[in-house]
Amino acid sequence: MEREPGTAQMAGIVERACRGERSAQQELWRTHRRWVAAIVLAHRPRSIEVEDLMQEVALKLVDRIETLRDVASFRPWLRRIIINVCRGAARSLKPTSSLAAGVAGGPSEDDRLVGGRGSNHGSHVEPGEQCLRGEFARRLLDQAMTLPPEYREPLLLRCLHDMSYQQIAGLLEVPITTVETRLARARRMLREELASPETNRKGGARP
Amino acid sequence: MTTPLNAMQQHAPMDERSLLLSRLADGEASEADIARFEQLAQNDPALRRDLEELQQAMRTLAAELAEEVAAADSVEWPESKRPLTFRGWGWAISGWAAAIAVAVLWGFATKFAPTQTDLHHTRPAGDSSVNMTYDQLRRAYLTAPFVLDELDPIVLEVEELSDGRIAVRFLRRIEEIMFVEPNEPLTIDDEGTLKQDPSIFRNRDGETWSPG
Repeated sequence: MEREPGTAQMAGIVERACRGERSAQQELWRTHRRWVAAIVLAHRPRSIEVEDLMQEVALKLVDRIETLRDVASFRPWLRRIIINVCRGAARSLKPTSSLAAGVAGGPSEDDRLVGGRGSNHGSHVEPGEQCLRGEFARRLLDQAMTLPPEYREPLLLRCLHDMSYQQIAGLLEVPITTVETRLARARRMLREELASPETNRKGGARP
Repeated sequence: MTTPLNAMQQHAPMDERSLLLSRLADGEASEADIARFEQLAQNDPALRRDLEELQQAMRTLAAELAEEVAAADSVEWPESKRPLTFRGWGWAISGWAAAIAVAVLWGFATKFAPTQTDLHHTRPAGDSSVNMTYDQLRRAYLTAPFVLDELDPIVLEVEELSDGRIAVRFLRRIEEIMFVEPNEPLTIDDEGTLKQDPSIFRNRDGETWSPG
């Protein structure tokens, strides 16, 4: 992952990017693209690839970065652009590609089952156990992607970027208590869905 | 596929147990939260297991998500501003193409603008909007308290006609807000499309509004 500059340094980069300095714009994109991807993942229509939407966000950003007036509000401003791109995509022409797996950009079912993903973090596990863990991870991700966006987004920001409740609240422009409640509800909904007999029939038992 | 969401499930009161587990898993628990957790765990040993399972699940989810967004690294900052090109799920138009589109839209608006007679036929007597053009009506609608923003129109199709004109089919996009009671069913499909008419939720209180 890209190393994120400190707050003051970031403000300087945003300011230079707004003035049209190309190297600053590139730096801003490099340090934010995984963050952008997380918001895209939370709001996109499931049939459209994350990368396609990111390209569109990047183009919008190129068009509009010089219109940003308040450097401190860069992230909420960028988030609104991302959400508008996702909403626009949902209402646009038919998607050009559908996904082999349940979630965009994800590996094939086989990739998951052979443990090609990073959920085991190098610890030794038996092949059978690895399959079950891979299956659980797949179901967990699929269920997280079916949460309503207002619950999915804070959960993704927390999981992916380790953002504090305060940082998430600032970004979403909601009170901290709302963030807390949404995260707790998101987890409760995930737990209930994963424990439901219907989900278990579809996806197998939990390891 | 359409996924019905039960508004009741989403807005049900948050239980203390879920909130505590969530705060602890995120490292955001206060001293008082930790003390309360210990107190509850003495009577309910399953609570510690639930916390461990939640922490493990969140680590697993984080690893899965990290893989999902890793593809983002391949998306580079564009070399130049938006090109004139067809992009998978929509049209991107700029420069002269945008100018043509605006001119065509203006032409359509002029050609199909309503006459005063049309408006008198379509609006109820005594309505303050009887003398408005369609464009004025649209602008008036945008001042409604539930309208948040109007986004740029999306061009769906550009077609050259036999008489040399260009037909541009486009979607207008108006961002609105509505409020759903906890016991009301809300259905949104996978594409993010709301499957109910928002007026169902707005008209229940009998609230009215006059433009302008």
